[in-house]
This record gives sequence, structure tokens and C-alpha cells, in this order.
Amino acid sequence: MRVILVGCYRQDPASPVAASADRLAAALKRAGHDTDTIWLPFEPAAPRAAQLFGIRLLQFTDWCDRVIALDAPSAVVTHQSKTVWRLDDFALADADEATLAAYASGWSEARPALSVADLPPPQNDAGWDAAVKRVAP
Amino acid sequence: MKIAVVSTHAPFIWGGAEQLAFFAAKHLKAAGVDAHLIRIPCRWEPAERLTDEMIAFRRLRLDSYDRVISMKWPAYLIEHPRKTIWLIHQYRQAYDMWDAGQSNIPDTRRGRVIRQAIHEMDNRAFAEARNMFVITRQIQARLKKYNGLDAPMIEPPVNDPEIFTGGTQGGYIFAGGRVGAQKRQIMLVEAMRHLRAGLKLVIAGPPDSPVEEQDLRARVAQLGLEDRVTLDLRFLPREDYARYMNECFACAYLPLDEDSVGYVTAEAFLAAKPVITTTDSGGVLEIVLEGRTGAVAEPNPQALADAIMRVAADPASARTMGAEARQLWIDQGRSWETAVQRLME
Repeated sequence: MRVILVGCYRQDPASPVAASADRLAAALKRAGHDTDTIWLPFEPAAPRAAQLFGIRLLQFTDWCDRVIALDAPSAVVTHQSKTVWRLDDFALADADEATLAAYASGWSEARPALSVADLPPPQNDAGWDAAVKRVAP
Repeated sequence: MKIAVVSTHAPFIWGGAEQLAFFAAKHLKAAGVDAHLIRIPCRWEPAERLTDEMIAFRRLRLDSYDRVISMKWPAYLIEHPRKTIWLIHQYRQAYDMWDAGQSNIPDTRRGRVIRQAIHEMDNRAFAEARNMFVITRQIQARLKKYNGLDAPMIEPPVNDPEIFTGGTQGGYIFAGGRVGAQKRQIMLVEAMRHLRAGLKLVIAGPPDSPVEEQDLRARVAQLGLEDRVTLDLRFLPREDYARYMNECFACAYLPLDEDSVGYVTAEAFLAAKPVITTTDSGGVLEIVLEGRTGAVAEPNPQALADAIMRVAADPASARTMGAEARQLWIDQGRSWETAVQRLME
């Protein structure tokens, strides 16, 4: 199937998202899936709720069979088969009520919705292959 | 300096617009700029979505960048105090294609409101831009006609000119690049029915969708052309693509009303190959000149076959056309160094 990995552009070398996206994409390909990875703009210092509204409006539904959102802001994308695997919560700190409500909507739609505690980034290819079965069931 | 190169794209598709954005970011980096490519998916169907897309892009922020270079509708709607627009695409269905009755926006009260909103948002985004460039004369003329704006051109260079060295005149016509209805490879397959047995066709590139691939394969099989038409339908490594180009007899490129000359044409010219195209292909007609740099056919299989024969009948003449094509391209003096310099003005 066609799978889009989506995260928000962030230049923080400590963020686990970029490296994990590469390894997850490789594991999905090994499992026979087509993948594309999309980094959306998101500025934590600017009003967040308006940006989340914009991300929410972007249409992913017709592009792929499944979306896997890899961080807090990207979890609000719209798709009928959405996985959220929250590897980075960078935009959660100091979030206002509207922002938190938007996140909550995004997470509640996801099947599955996983945090890094539920599924830590694996250490080797075998671990990533196993993770694929959970995030792209 | 930190720069975002922003463009819209269709996921899983790698075409000319995607290449241009990718290589713009790459060459900005090579020039010492901290450039980031940001590709944002956009859906144009149904027309009722268009206003949502505009609102979505208007909500996105790129505040942490010192400058933004945006290329396509609606990516250029993102606000930024230092925005350069290098225009590849407006939403043509709200402009010339509307006038031609070829728009997906219905000519209803609601449709007219959507079209008006696109015009107004475009005008606002263009007014916000510090600098604005276009990639072709067609876009330049359209911008003047519909938005009343003058914008200079920065024509896209070839991204890896060193691999298009030319080579022997092989016994095949090469149709490279994205495979899909807009590029009309099926018409080319149908033209093969009318051509002598010795001439072959190679179609190589990534299909836009599994349906496009199935349709093309089915048409080749229906016409019994499996022994004369090679379908190498995948995302080719550049070396493989260049080998096909360098060793072909001539190149065929038949987009439907495309603004630009297209990378395929540019690469063929650099490889000193004549190009066969059609009268409705758009920007490519600026440089494919009948009998000088290639052949131009009416858009139907028989006329296309005749055009191919005009090129294929005389190898010496085809070589001369290829040489003129290469010289024409070189004389245009396009380079990434110049393009980057102007984008940074």
C-alpha cells in the first residue's frame, strides 16, 4: 500500500523524528509498501492553533492508503486510516487550550495512536520491521 | 541565512516541478545558504476544495526563515516579509483554462466566487512578494494579462548537464520522464503502428499511478507491439535515464499544453538529439523548430508517425538537427549559478 510519513520541519538534531522517519520508511519499503515523507512547516513560537487549523485542512485522504504522523503537530492531519506515533512532543509545552483541543482531536481519530512510551524507536532493522506491523497494520 | 524553498506537490510523483524545487534548494546550499526544501501536498479536486487549500496555506508560518522562495499555487500564498516568488504555476483553471472552457471550476455563481477568490488571493500574495520571477514566456504573458504584472524570467537550467553527453544514433525513439495522460505516451504507442518495423520506441519513467501503467501496457499488448516498444516504467537512476537519452535516435515529448520547454526537451537538446512534439504541447514549441531542431506534428497518431519519419528517414539530417538543438540550448546560457544569484537579489 501507499504510506505517507508526515512530520513537522524541525532542525533540532536531538529530535528523534527525522532519523526515525528514514528508518521507518526503509522498513516500510522492505515490507513492500510505497512511501513518501512530507515535512510540514510549523512554528512553535507563532500562534499554534491557527497553524494547526491550516495543517488540518491539508488533504491527505486521496493520496495514500495510510498516513503515519510522527509528532504532535502533524497528528492533526486528516486521513481515514491514520496512525499517530508521537516520537516528539515539541509543540506541546505551553500549549493553549485551543491547541490542546486540536491535538486531542487528531489523536482520538488515529488507529493506532502510540506514544514513544508505547513503542520506543527500535535499535535495529529487525526492530523496525516489527514496528511496521504495529504502525501500518 | 536560512531559506525555505516551498512548493506544492503530489505525493509519490516526481516531475519537472518537483525537480526544480529540489535542485533550487540543492544549488542554494551549494552557494553557502542554509536552504530547506518544504513540499506541501495540495489537492485541486473537487473545485470546492480550492478555498480550503488557500486558507490552509495562508495559515502556515515560516517565521524562523530569513527568506522564503515559493514556486507554485498555493504555496506562494504563505505569508512572509521576505518572500521571493519564482512562479512555475498559477492555478490555470482560474485563468486561461477558464477562458478556454477547460476548467474544473463550474461556471456557476459559486464557481465564479471561487475563481474570484483565487484571483484576489493571488494578487495579494504577489503584492506581498519582495521579488517575483517566472520560468517561461507563457507564464510571463499570462501574469501580465490576468494580474497586470511584469515579472522577469529565470529559466530553469538542466540539473545535471554533465551526463547528457550525446552518443550513437541508436535504433529507437526515446520518451522519458513521467508517464501519464498529460504526457500522452499512449499516442506515441499508437503512432508506432504506422512506422516501419525496424524503428523501436523506449518509454522510461515513473507512472503517475498504477492505472496509467496498466493502460499503457494494455495498449502496447492490444496493438501487438511488445517486440518494438520497451516499457521501463520506474523511477530511473539518472545514469540509466541519461544512457537512454544519449543513445537514442531522437526524443519524443508530447505534453498537453505545458508552460515550460520541459526537462526532457532540454536534456535531449544537450545530448544533441532532435525532438518530436505536437502543435498543442505548449512551451516546448519555443525551441523545437520543424526541420531545424526536430519535428512538430498535429496531435494524432498518423501525423505523429509522419513526423517521426521526417526525422528518422535521414540519419545525417537528424544529426544536423541534434547539433543545432544543442547549440541553441547552449546559447541560452542557463546555469544554476546565475539562477541562484538572481533569486538572492
